[in-house]
Amino acid sequence: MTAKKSKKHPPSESLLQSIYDFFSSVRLTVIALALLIPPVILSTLIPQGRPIGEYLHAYGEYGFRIIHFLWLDDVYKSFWFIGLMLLLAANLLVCTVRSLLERKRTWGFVIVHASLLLFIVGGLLSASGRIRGQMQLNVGDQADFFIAHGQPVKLPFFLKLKSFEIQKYENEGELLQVKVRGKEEAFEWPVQRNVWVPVPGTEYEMNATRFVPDFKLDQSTREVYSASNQPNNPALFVQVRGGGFDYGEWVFHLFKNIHNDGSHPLELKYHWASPVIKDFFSHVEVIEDGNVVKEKIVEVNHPLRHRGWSIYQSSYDPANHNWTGLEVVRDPGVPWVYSGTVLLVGALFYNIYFRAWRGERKNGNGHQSHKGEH
Amino acid sequence: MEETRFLTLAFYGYLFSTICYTVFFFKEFRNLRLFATGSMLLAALLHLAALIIRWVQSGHAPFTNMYESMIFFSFCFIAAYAIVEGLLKTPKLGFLVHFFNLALLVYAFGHDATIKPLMPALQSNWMLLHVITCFLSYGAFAVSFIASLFYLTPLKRFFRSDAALDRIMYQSILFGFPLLTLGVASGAVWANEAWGTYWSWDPKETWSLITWFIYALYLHLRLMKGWSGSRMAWFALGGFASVLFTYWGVSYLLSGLHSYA
Repeated sequence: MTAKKSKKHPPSESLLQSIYDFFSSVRLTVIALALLIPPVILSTLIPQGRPIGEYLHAYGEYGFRIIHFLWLDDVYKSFWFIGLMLLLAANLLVCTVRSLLERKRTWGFVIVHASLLLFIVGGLLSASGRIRGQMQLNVGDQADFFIAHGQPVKLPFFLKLKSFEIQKYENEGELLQVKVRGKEEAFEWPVQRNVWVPVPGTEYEMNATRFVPDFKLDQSTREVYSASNQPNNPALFVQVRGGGFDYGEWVFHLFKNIHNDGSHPLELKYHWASPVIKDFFSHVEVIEDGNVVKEKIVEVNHPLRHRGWSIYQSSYDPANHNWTGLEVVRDPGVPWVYSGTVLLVGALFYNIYFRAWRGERKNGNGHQSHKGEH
Repeated sequence: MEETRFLTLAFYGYLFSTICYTVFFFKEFRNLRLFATGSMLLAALLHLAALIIRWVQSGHAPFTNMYESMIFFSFCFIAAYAIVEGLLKTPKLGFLVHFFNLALLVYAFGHDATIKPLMPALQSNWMLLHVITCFLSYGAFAVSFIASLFYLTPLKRFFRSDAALDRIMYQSILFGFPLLTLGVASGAVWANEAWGTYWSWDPKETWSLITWFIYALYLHLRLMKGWSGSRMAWFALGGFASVLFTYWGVSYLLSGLHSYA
């Protein structure tokens, strides 16, 4: 930012010069930033955009009145926050223009400040033009609309869900505690299915061969079955062999102290853990005029982009693996923000690291001040 | 060897360098400085090896929970200090740097070190860029914080001049600022790729912006208004308080998208 004193001008020109000086001054930058910091801090301490009852409960009537009067319950939409941001934007704009006109600053300086303007423009475009909503599909279904703020929004194409898959981490948190009868120490085994594993320090091996989430025993046939897919009574069938033994037994998460009759050499305690989701994928097709024009597996961090719309993987139903929840977004601010990001980071790295490094090499010492480079 | 053995060796290495830097702070033996710097670099190499081993064992970058992030923060702190010591020839700063680093490691060791599976949103290369750049900037800001502590206490008489400390504060912040910018910006791009919004005023995001504002203010006041000395030392202190709140305060006191670390 430039801090140049004005020369003598006629009153009208002098006023314009004063406004020009004011908007390009470092003082304005400092004041705007300093004024922005306290309310932004408050916005992280006071919940934003919640129902009135929540504020009344937390802060009482007078507290709520003060918060509401100062817009501290919706800081980012308040007139004073937007006003401060616009003031900062005007400051950045005038400062950038002045730097270009007076050619007193480096390109790095100009680009850094211009890129911040791109952020502000992008933010305003996003705030005013972003459309965001949800689309839910079952395998085989297709739709050309999604729901945003309770209203259907039409898409210029159909989206069809071909398949949906949930991947889980294997054996995560599922443990079998093994203790040799008569010994004190216990060994914990992260359960792996259908693999023979030696029990350390013994001649025994064990293998978890079957899991049922909701254990039930058919009294007539003595057959074990799962009453449902819900983990109401998780149980594991473990086979043990070695040392002259070869047997199998059921162990239960809910009934850890149910043991065999004492004839078995190992005491087993089973700890079941809910499987941890590794990833979930929606295999979707984009259909236009009855033709498939694009096909993609949408997963978290890998959205589908088509005609300015972005489709994100957002949710799943643990009980229905044929269903997917997608987030549909169109945000006109994103290209501006991304451009600003590239320019800002590039200019800062160039200005601070590269120029400083080159300057120090030229000067042949490590004691050069950076003052005046920015 | 296991990760914990490397980390334990690194800890003892840092302990030794802490003793060397402490003695050197009060009595400038030349050879002691070599021992201090040498043991610090050796410990940092062991520390790096521990991070790499954990990375290989877990199958993902080791900064996905509080324990891992603190161990990485400690490494970045030492790395930033090593750069500052190398460039600005300020070994006396190592005295407090190492005390704080040991405290950080001891605190980290009290946390759950179990390797946890990675949730879907964290499975992104953007996470690498975001976390590495943020923590390198935190390391640089931590060095400026140490310099400001020296500046604002009677300990500053152990340094050549006030200007030397002032310069360390400024250069460390100057070094950290582009990294913080890249960290915040890459986090925004990552959020847009994962959730379809580049900025959601999540408490961690908001506090990283506050930290960015404070350091932007620092640089403007220093470069454009010529401020220096104790006013800037207080600024550096305030900036690092904001870093700490962004990192710990938000994670423990406020909920949001970053609640895992």
